[in-house]
Amino acid sequence: MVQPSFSHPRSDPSSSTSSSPTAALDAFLDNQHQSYFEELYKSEAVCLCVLRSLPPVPRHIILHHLWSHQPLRTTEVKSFLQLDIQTSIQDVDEIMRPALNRKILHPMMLKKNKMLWPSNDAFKKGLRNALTGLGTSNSFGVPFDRDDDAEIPSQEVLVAYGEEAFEGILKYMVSSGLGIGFSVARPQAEVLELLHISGLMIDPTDATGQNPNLNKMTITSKGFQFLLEDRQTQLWEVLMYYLTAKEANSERSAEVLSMFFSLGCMQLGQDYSASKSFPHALSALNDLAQYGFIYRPSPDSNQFFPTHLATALCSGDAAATKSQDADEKRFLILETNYKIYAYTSNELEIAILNLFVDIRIRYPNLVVGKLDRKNVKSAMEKGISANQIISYLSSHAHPQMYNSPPPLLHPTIVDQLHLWDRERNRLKMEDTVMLEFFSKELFEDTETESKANAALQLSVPNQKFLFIEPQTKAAITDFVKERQNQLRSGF
Amino acid sequence: MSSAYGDAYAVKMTSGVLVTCDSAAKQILLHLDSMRDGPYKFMIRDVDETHIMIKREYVEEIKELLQDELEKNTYIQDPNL
Repeated sequence: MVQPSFSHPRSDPSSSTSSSPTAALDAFLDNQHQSYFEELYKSEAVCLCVLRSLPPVPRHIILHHLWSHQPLRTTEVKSFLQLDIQTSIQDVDEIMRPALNRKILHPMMLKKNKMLWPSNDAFKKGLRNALTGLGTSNSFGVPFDRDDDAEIPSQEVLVAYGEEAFEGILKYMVSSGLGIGFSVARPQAEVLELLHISGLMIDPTDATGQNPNLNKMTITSKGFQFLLEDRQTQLWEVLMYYLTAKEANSERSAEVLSMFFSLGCMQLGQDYSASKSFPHALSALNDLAQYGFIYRPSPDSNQFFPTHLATALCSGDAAATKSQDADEKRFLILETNYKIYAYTSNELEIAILNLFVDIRIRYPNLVVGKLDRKNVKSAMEKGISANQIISYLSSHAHPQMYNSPPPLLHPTIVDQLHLWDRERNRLKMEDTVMLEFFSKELFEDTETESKANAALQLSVPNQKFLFIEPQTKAAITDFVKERQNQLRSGF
Repeated sequence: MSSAYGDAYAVKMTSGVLVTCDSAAKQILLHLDSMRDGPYKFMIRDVDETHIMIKREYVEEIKELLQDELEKNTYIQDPNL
């Protein structure tokens, strides 16, 4: 048996797809049409944030080309990237793919191996305005006109408020799954409905899935996976669930999405006027308040403060947002004997750890536990994968862990987690139809035929067995009968 | 066309579930099957080192039995140690 290589989970492509914190947003935007982008790019804030979300190379090329009146040409891109002039058009296309997907550039074939990319007028105009401070769409928010002596909350207060509101929702999700019962306030009904629609929580007593009892909802495996994501990913996922729910109600989502980007460009500690900044998305803004994205001094006031959850949305650089709470997030020491020391007193983090760690000792600022088979396997039964546990452990590793030679997590533990994961599904089951042959000729013909039709599951030549997909049974039977007749009449 | 051997081009078709697994797990399955009698036997065909074919109605039962068997072979540390 070939031993699989576990220690480099990064090398397998499936794990790298979800690495970007804006993966949920990207997936949403990739499915939108030209007209949707035209509407989005009316807002300067959207143009700026979309530019920031691009990978560095296309981002630089777009910026270089911003003030030009000519369409971008492939030869220019090639010389800018110092590529060989003979480089195939597909390669250049691949590099610029993110910009093409966002409809910033439109592909246009000029002649063989030459291409023009005219840029989207709305985007060009929006980005120029964003950089020069022109434009009239107020997409960066309109400051609230308040009295000079009015008291405003400090940045720390806003951060604490946002953190508390969002963690409250996460805590509620964890506690529903564990039944450890720390006193958590139930989030508002709208929040719970969204959690239900997005499939993060379900009501197990509700068979149809239509009329959930919001008080009896428990977390799903998708919900557990959500908990292990980093904050930025969680925020974008929630926003995208919100947006999809809006679309399901056949409401227009472009304005709401452009509001998300506007919030992302706002400044922490500054107050804005709701009615002037987002005249068309006031109800959506109210909904966001429930997740802690904005803070309002009183429920119906026109004044609002974006919290750090909102202002960090579009920073474009994931590391920058992490640094804010980096010290708090890096609290885990994992030893090669599977012991875990967590220097934290955060209830949410402890509850999450409790999902897959056997917690032995709790001090006010330290939790000691052990990764053991029983707890890890019960976590895996809830739908958490080994890769998620590993990425959680490494993203929360204590600075001390970096002092030992890499890799950060000891291979023993990483491999063991993967082995526990493997153990659950050692059997791969698939429905099949077995064909047993006596004639080698007929066997080989049928094998070729079923291979050509992608119907073959397994072929065992020395016993003359063929295993085919059940839905292709009728077609293969016809083929075999026809072939039988030909062979028999051959005598 | 018939001969002394019967039809040389006859083909036998059987429906079931193809199980792909490592050879250790397969040996456990063979063992489980050998413990059973008559209609309770689940194996249709022992295909090769890493494949066997079983009856569809036993799929869930087999999965559980295998897990139980694997669980027996796992060392669990005495919590009092």
